Amino acid sequence: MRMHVWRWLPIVTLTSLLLPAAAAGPDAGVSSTEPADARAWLVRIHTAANQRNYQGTLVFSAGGVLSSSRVAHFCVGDQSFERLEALDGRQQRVYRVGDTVHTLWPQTRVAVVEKRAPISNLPSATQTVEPRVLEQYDLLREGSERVAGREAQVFLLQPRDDLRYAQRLWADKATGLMLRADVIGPNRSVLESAAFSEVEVGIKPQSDSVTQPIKKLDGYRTVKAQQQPTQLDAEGWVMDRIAPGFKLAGCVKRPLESASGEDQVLQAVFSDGLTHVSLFIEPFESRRQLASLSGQIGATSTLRQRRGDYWITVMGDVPAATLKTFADALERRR
Amino acid sequence: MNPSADSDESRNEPAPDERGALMSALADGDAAALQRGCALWRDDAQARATWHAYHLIGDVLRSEDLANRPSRDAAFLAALRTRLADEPVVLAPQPAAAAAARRRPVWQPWLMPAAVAAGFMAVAGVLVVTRIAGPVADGPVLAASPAPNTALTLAGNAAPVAQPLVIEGRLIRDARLDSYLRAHREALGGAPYALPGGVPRNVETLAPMAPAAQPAAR
Repeated sequence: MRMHVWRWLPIVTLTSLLLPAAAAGPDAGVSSTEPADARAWLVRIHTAANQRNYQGTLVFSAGGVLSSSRVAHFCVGDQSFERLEALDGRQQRVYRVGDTVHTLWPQTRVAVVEKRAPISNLPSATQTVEPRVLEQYDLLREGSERVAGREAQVFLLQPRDDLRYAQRLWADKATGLMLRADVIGPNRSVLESAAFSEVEVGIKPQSDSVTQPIKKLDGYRTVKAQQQPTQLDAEGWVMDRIAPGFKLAGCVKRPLESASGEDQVLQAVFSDGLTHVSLFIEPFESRRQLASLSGQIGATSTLRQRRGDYWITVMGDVPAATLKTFADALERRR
Repeated sequence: MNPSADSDESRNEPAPDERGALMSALADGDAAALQRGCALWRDDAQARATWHAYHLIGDVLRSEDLANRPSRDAAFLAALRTRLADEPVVLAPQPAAAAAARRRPVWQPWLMPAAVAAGFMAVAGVLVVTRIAGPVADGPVLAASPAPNTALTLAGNAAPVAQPLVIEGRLIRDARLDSYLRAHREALGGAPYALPGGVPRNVETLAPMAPAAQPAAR
């Protein structure tokens, strides 16, 4: 495993050499944005992501680890098509047509088919921007930079309290497409960063490249993963004091690892308009091997503790203290 | 093996030829002889002598160079014990610890006599190692975490009571946590990747646990 880190080290080093401007630049020309203008930019970013046709390589970096994926997105009429191919580690391909998602694991010849009805009110799930986001964050305009060969407008979403992290966004000036996003922790440290290393926007849609590979899944074992919408109180749970700015976006019962019915967990999702927190509840008795834990990698914090007959696992790109407020607020009522 | 069954067995005095057969089976690595053989070895000095004799015979059959005086074995074991005592304590993350805890009733009873009678200790050690190696190898991917004072970019806010994540400057390596992470990202539903929070993570951490989740996928 240590080998792995070393293998990446040259790339990490190279990246840090190439990116000094990113660290130094944004401070120049900071200006607070008019609310209407700020909202207009966020809408532009969302609309571009949903409605443009683009293809490129997305690089993700956190905690000194880089991974990249080849991503293509097409929009034909009302229908959206998306394709993702993981370029590092285990082979994985994801094909999405509307809200039907095929995840293919070529090495084990397993295809997981899911109907992912978007959990409503999530920041990215709808094509409109959640207006609440600007109640929790100030949007500051930070000048221009060049990303993936394109001119980008830089924004900082600065939280108004310490329950969440800041995010810096680089939006393509020509189309509004998000070219890079950093999650920024206390002391302005970059916790994780995601960026297109190269991207073509406005290409001809090739929806066949998404629909063809999932038509013939010869030799694949197809697994259907079912999610059932439910309510926290219907499952016997109550949450009275949710962290300020967060709202319950949805709650589902879902298989976790195996796509079989036996491994069901309850997942409640909370959103503040920009980021979201997941709360997982599962019976203690059948998961005795689990342990309490708490930690953070990149921007993602995880907190797991036992509550009576249940394991409570909270996960999200927020400070650990925020996760704790979620875990503490959950109460069993039945 | 539970301790009461163990002591029940040890109370039975075996016939001499049964003793020989058990030690022979144990020396051959016959799992069926494991419980009774070990109990006998622990409680019966004759059995230990037989055990040593069988091994000596086996060694000499393989090579005459292996025909050594018992003092040489004793010196070797003494040196081994010293080296073992100097070994740093391996801090295993929770899954492995849990696996070890589940197995403790199996090997603990051997370890205690092994500390008394050194001749058996190397064998017990080998058994423990191989038995633990199984679940670790095909279980959750555990990072053999180096000293955490290297350039880890971790926020040091883990609650003191909780088990820290298995971290090696990498993303979460516990397979179950990978699944949570995946489910957490999937909550975005059919949203494009090119949005804040939507960018896919390190794919290895997103991968489902193949052995547990997918029966005998070729």
